[in-house]
Amino acid sequence: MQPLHWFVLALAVLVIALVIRGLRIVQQAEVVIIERLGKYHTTLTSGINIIWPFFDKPRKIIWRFLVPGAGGEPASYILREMDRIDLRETVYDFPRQNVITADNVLIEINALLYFQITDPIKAVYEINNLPDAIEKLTQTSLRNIIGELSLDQTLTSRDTINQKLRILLDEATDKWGVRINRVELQDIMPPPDIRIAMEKQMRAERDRRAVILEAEGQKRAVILQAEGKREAQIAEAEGSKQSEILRADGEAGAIQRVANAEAEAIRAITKAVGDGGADPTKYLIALKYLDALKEMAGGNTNKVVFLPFEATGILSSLGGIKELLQEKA
Amino acid sequence: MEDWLLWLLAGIVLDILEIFIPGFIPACFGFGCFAAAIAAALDFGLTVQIAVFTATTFIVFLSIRPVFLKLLSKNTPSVATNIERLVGMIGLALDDVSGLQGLVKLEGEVWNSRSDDGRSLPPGTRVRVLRVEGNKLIVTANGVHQSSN
Repeated sequence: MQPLHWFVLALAVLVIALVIRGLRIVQQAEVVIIERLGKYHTTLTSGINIIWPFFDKPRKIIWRFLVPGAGGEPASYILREMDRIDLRETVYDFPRQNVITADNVLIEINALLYFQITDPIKAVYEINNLPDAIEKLTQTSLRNIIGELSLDQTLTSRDTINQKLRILLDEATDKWGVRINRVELQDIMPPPDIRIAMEKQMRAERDRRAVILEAEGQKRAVILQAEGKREAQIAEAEGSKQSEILRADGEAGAIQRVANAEAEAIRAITKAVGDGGADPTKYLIALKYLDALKEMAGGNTNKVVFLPFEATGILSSLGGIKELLQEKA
Repeated sequence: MEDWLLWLLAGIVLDILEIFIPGFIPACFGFGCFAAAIAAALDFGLTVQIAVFTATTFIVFLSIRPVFLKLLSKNTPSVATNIERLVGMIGLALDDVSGLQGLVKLEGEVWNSRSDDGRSLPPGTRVRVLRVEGNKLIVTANGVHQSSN
C-alpha cells in the first residue's frame, strides 16, 4: 500500500508539471516557435496549444522594450528574452546619431523605424539579437544615404531618404523575415553655427524681399501720380481750349453784329448826308474825331486837355467842319 | 473535514483562480479535484483519490485542444492579422513582377514581390497574394487585366 501511495503521488506531481508546462495559449498576432529536442518542430499559432514539456521547448527571441525614464530622464530600452514572437508592427526610436553630409556638415539625426516580423522562423533562426541588428543596419544605411546628399537636400528630401532607406533595408532584412515598413527622420539638427548662418540667410532673404516690395510700391505710386497729373493737365488744356474757342466764337459774333449795325448806321447817315449833297465821308470823320476828343477829355479827374499834335490834321478837320456848316447854311 | 469536501473546495478555488490566470491550467486541476471529490464521496482511499485526480487532469489536458477546436472555434471567428491578413488580398503591380523581382503596392505600402510561377506580370496588373516569404509577397495574376486607371 505504502509504495503504491508514493508512486501515485509522484505521478500526480508529474501530471501537474506536464499540465503547467504543456498547455500554451497563444494570443492573436503572436506565435511561439517550438523545438523538439533542439530541432525546429512547429510554430504555435493563436488559440490553445499542447506541447510535450519533456521534448518540446519554445525557442526564445530577444526583444526590446521601451522603459519610460523616471523623473524626467530619457526613456531607455531593455532587452528581454521572449518565447512569444510579436508579429505586430513595432516602432523603434533610435538615439541621436552623428552623420556627415556630402558637403561635410556634421548633423545629428534621429530616426524612427517601423518594422514587422513577416517570417517568425527566419527571425528566430537567421539572426541573433534582432533589435540590435535592425538598429545598426538602419544607422549605417542612413549614414550611407545622407553621405551622398548635401545639407540642403537632407533637409528638404526626407521622403526620398525614407524611400531609398526602405529599399536598402528591405533587401538586407529579407533574410531575417523582417519587413521595414517605414523609416522616418524625426529631427535633423545641424550644428549651432550652421543654424545661425541659416537663420541669417533667412533674415537676409526676408529683408531683400521687403526692400524689393517697398521699392516696387514706390515705383507704382510715382507712376500713378505722374499719370494722374498728365490726365489732369490734358483735361485742363482741353477745357481752356474749348472755352477759348467758345469765347472767340462769341466775340466774332459780337464783332460781326457791331459791324453790321455800324454798316447799317453808316448807310443811313450816308443816305441822310448824301441827300443833303455833302460828303458823308467827311462828316463821319468829323464825328469820330469829336467822339475821340470827348473820350480823351472825358473823366472827372482828367484836367488835361488833349489837342491833336498834327496841325494839318486839325486844320483839315476844321476845314471839314466849316465846310459842313457852310453847306448847311 | 471530509475528504470529498476538501477536494470540492480545492476545485472551486482552482476554477476561481482560472478567472485571474488565464491559460486553462488551474481549470485542468479543478476538473481533477472534482473527479477526486466524487471518488472520496464513494469512500475510496487516498491513493485512489490521488490517482483519479491525476488521471482526470491528464485526460482533460489531452482532450482540451480537440474539445476547444470543436466546440469553441464554432463561436470564435478566426480573424487573420498581420501577415496572414495579406494572403488573398489584391495588390497592384508597380513594375514588371517576375520570378526574381518586382514591386507591388498593397494597402498603400510598396512590397518586394515575386510571381509564383516565374511568369512576368506587367505593371498595372492586379495581383493576388498567395503567401509571404521573407519580406516578399508571392503573387499571381488575378485574372482580370487592369489598365492603368
